[in-house]
Parts: sequence; structure tokens; C-alpha cells
Amino acid sequence: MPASTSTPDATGHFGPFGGRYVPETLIHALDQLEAEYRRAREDRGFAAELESALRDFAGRPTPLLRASRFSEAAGCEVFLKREDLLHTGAHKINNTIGQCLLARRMGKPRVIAETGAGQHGVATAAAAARFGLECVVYMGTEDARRQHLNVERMKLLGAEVREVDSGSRTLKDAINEALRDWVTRVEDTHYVLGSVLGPHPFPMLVRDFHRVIGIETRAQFAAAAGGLPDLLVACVGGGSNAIGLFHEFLDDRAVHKVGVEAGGHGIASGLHAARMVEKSVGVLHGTRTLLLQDERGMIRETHSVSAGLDYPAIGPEHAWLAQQGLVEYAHATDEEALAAFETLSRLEGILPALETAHALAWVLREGRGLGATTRAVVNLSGRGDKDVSEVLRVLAARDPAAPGGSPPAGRP
Amino acid sequence: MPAAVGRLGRAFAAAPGATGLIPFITVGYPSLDASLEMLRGFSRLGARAVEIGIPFSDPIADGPEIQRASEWALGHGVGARQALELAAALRRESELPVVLMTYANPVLRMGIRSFATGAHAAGADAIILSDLPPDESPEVWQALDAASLDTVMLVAPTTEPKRLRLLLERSRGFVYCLARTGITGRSGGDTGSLPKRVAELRARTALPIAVGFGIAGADQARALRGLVDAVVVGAAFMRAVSEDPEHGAVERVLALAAELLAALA
Repeated sequence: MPASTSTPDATGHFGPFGGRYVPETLIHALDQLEAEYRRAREDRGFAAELESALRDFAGRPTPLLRASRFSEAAGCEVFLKREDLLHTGAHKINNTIGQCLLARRMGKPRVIAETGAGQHGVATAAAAARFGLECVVYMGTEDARRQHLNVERMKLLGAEVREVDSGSRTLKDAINEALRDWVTRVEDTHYVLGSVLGPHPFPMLVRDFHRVIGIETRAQFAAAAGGLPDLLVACVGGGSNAIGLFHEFLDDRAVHKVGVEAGGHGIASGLHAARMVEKSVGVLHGTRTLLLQDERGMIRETHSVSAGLDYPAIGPEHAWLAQQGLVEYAHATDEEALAAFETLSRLEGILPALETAHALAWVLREGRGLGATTRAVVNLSGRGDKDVSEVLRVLAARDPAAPGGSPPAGRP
Repeated sequence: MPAAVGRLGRAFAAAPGATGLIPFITVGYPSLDASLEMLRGFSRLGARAVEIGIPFSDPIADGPEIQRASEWALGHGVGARQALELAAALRRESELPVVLMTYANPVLRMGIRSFATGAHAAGADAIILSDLPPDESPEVWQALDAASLDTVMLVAPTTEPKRLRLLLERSRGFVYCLARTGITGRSGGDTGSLPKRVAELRARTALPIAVGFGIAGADQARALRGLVDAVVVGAAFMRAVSEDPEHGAVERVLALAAELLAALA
């Protein structure tokens, strides 16, 4: 069972966070989703269907890799949970399979999704195709530019991609538009929300669909290294891959957990997505949580080199875990993330997603201080193929002599 | 069931059986002066009440017209404080009931007690929070009650009978019945069940009933005459402004209001 400290109450609150801040039109759909999810959770048929899809369609279980050369560079022992090996290239598909199965149970023929980096959009499009559902994905025009390859992948998978040109033209605005679609077509549409965000029951059910990450990690780590890891590290946008890894270990207080937010150009620049720095409480996209806002309560624009972390609010359960001191939250800058991207690529032969690179960057920065006997698991939440053109663009802008740029930190 | 009292209650009681008009405008679109002129005009023309929208950066219940108006207002530094000042300016010269409409975050950021006492002091009569259901954040509802502000609930086509009880218990002033699922300004979709839904509401509440969402012109308003106690129109007014925000906005808005009122008379 999940730790009692981290289970939402009957109305979907994690302490003072979470809840349901939505137009009345959506309440019925949320009630229906919650009821269906609770029924599905008790249904052996659903569990079997989910398990078989995760295994045969998505490719679970994913391996836990001892990253020897990266460990040397970091100064502590690092294991990588290989969610990047999943079908469509990131952890996101754990959730989209679960939610598309729920949509089908509810008799809803159409699913919609928002996407930032494009990974959730691709994972939704793939699951929708597999389960015979119509699929529309909302994506900010800025993100569509940064992640053009994923736009094309979604289209090839049969999804319609609607670009959103309002506001900051990133993930936040894509969610606004997806919510507007849902409130309009709520009778025949399920909203496959892509992170541990939004109104109850989304933060709970998205987390539950990702808990498999931590459950596998516990068993694999015990088999490969013995005992429990000392440290778990994951990047945090909304926070789904992090909660998926951490949740199984919440009662293990000796296992330190670190969520790494996007530091962008640095906190002082104001151009970042590090919600845990100011810890300002507010309401966005259906949930009460920690977010970036101005003195009038308007949501601030964020910046990150990684589209998937470029979002002004953190999942409400993370806000609650932070308040209880159960998880430490830190941040890594664009620059550090790019260096970590290069380091992992060259030392382990794995291109990580730029989102994931933030978690790796934290380990590279803090590893020596932790010491060589510290055993850390980093959730390698996604692969970096989607980021190749963006990385080359950023490196070229920084150093015209790129590709490759300057030698990364930790290069032997 | 709370009976309609206060300025809103009196406005509805003064026109039994008639269908009134409740125009919505976003404060500060295109300017604070223009907003005040629009409110004065609505009062002069005989609107039942007026809704003043406080802009929010992420208005998930609103279509492009009100999004655009909100962005404009925010870009000109207009927010909750200016909305309260606008309400106070109207109140100095008119008894037209004022409903403030916004999202949870701007008022939570101001502090709900501070917002509630400020709204009451400005002469506002009621509050609509588009993304705050009655069973969420009890401290908000307590603070609004304590400041004697009516709390208007939105009832959706998707609202279940069990849920309706909760909404009606929390309703003060009038009940806002959504003509359709969806966002403001979107006029498609099926509204055929509206007479039945209004009849069901009548059977369960003595409060006046207003209908809104996607009511854009005189024909739609005329179709509702006699069915409900008021029609709420918002996006159509903001569209009238956006044709040319710098020129003739007040005139176009008031011409539309006059046309709607004639259709409802």
C-alpha cells in the first residue's frame, strides 16, 4: 500500500494541496472517472489487460543498468532505471495505456491530450491507435517547433495535432486548450492528462499507473546490488516519473529522494521553472499546488531548455511531500543539463531526454559530496532522440564550432 | 432554501415574469473609462444586473473573445483592484446590481477575506468563481458569506440531480444555468433540453434563473423570453469591442445591449 502520508483524502486533497478546481461542467466526468478507476482497480480482468499491454506493447519490465563509467564521472555509484527503453521512448506510456483502457471501459470513443516535449502526445497517440480510439493532441507552437519530430510521429500514429498559439505557446497553454476541448465535448471524450497534475482523481491515478517504476526498481536493485538504494533521483516537471519512482519507497526514510526542477538560465535570471524556490501556493489547471505567479495571481511564464519541464506548477502530491520533508527538491540549469546530456551520451552510449538530463546533472554536481559508497538510482525517464536537433541548435548558438561544443564535465 | 434578498433579489422581484439582460464585460477592455461608460449605459438601458470579469492569465472556461479581452486587460495592468474600483464608481451613481466574475487564483492571491470585504465595500453584490465548485475551499465561501456577498452557482447540462442539491444550497441571488457544455462564446451544440432543465430547476428552487453561454444575438435571446428570468451575454460584447478596440467600442456594445433588450421586451 502507498504510504499513508501520501494518499489523497476522499475529496482528493494531499494535505492543503490538490482538490478539484474546475468548471461545474467537468465535475460529472471527474466523478465518473474516479468511480470507473476504483472499479477497475478491483477488477482482475483490468489488471490482466493492463499487465499484458505493459509487457507486450510497451516493453515492461525495463532494466536497471549499473552505469559504471558515468559513476566514475559522478563520484558515486549510479544505476539507471531504463524507462527510455519503453515503446515510444519514455515512461509516459505507462499512464496512457492505463487511461486509454479506462476510456474504453467508460465507452468514450475519443481521447485528447496535451503535450510539452511531445512524449506524452506520442504515447497517447500510440495507445489510442492500439485501443481503437480517436485522438487529438494539443501542443504549444513553441514546443511543436522544438519537438518537430514528435509532431510528425503523432500524425503518423493517426492523431490530429492542434497547435496552440496563445500565451507562452508551451505546455501550460496546451493544457488550457485541452481543458476547453474537454469541457465542450465531455460526453464522448476522455482527457488523458499526462502528469500528476490537474483535478482529482488525475494526480492519484497517473501516479498509480507509474508506481510500477518504483516497484520494479526495488526488486531489481535488491537482486543486482542487495538491499535498498541510498538515493533516488528524478527530474520533475509535473512530476510523474519522479512520483512513479519514489512512491514505492516513501516509507523507507533511509532512502533519500531528490526531485530536480528546471533551473533554466538560473534562478536569479527569473527564467526558470523551479517552483520549489519560492513555494508560492496557488490554483492552476484544476489543482491547488506550488506554482510560479505574480503578485496579482497571474501565472508566470517559465523557461527551460527541455519542453517537458517548462511548466509553472508542480504536482500537488510533490507539494505535499516537500512540505512534509519527505523529498528534497533541487534544480539544474539548462547549461548543466546540456553538459549531463553529453556526458551520459559519451560515457554510457545513451542519449537521455533533456528532461532526464536535469536529474543526471544533479548527480554529476553532488555525486562527489555523496561519496563513492553512495548507491543512487536515477530514473532515466526518456530517451533523447527527440532532442537531437534542439541540442545541436543550442550548442551551435553557444559555440559556432559545435556540434559537440566544449568537452562536457566529467569527460575522462 | 435561501430566498433572494439584497440588490439582486430586489431587481428580479421588481420585474416578475419578465426576462432581463445581464451583460458581462471584462474590466479594462478596451480601457477603464470605456468600461465605466458601458456600465452606465447598461444601467440607463435597463439591464437587470451586470457582470464584471476580473482577468486571469489562464481562463480555462473562456473562449477566444474573453481570453483576448483578459490578455488585453492584463497587458494594461488591470486586475482585481481595478474591478473593485470600477464597481465602486458605478455604485456612486447607480443601483444596478454588480456580479464580479473570475477564477479562484486571483482572489486567493489577494486573500479571500481581503477580496470579500473589498468587494462588499465597493458595492458589489455577488461573486462567480468559474473554477471553484461549492465543495472546494470552504474558507472561500465562508468569507463571501461573512461579507454578505451572494454566491452564484453555475448549473451545467452534465450536473446530476444529487449534485444539484449541493449547488442550490450554495446558490444566492440567482442560479446561472449553462445553456450548453463548453466555454464562453461557443454557440454550437445542443440546447434542446434547456426548457426541461429550467423546469426542473424551477421545481427545486425559488431563486431567479439566468441562462448563459453562447447566447450571442437577438434571435437566441428572443427564444428565451418568458422561459427564464435573465439572459447572460458576454463574449458577444467582447467581440463587439475587438472589432476595433480603440474606436467606437462603447457605442457598439450599447447598441448590442439595446438590441438584446428589445428582443427580450
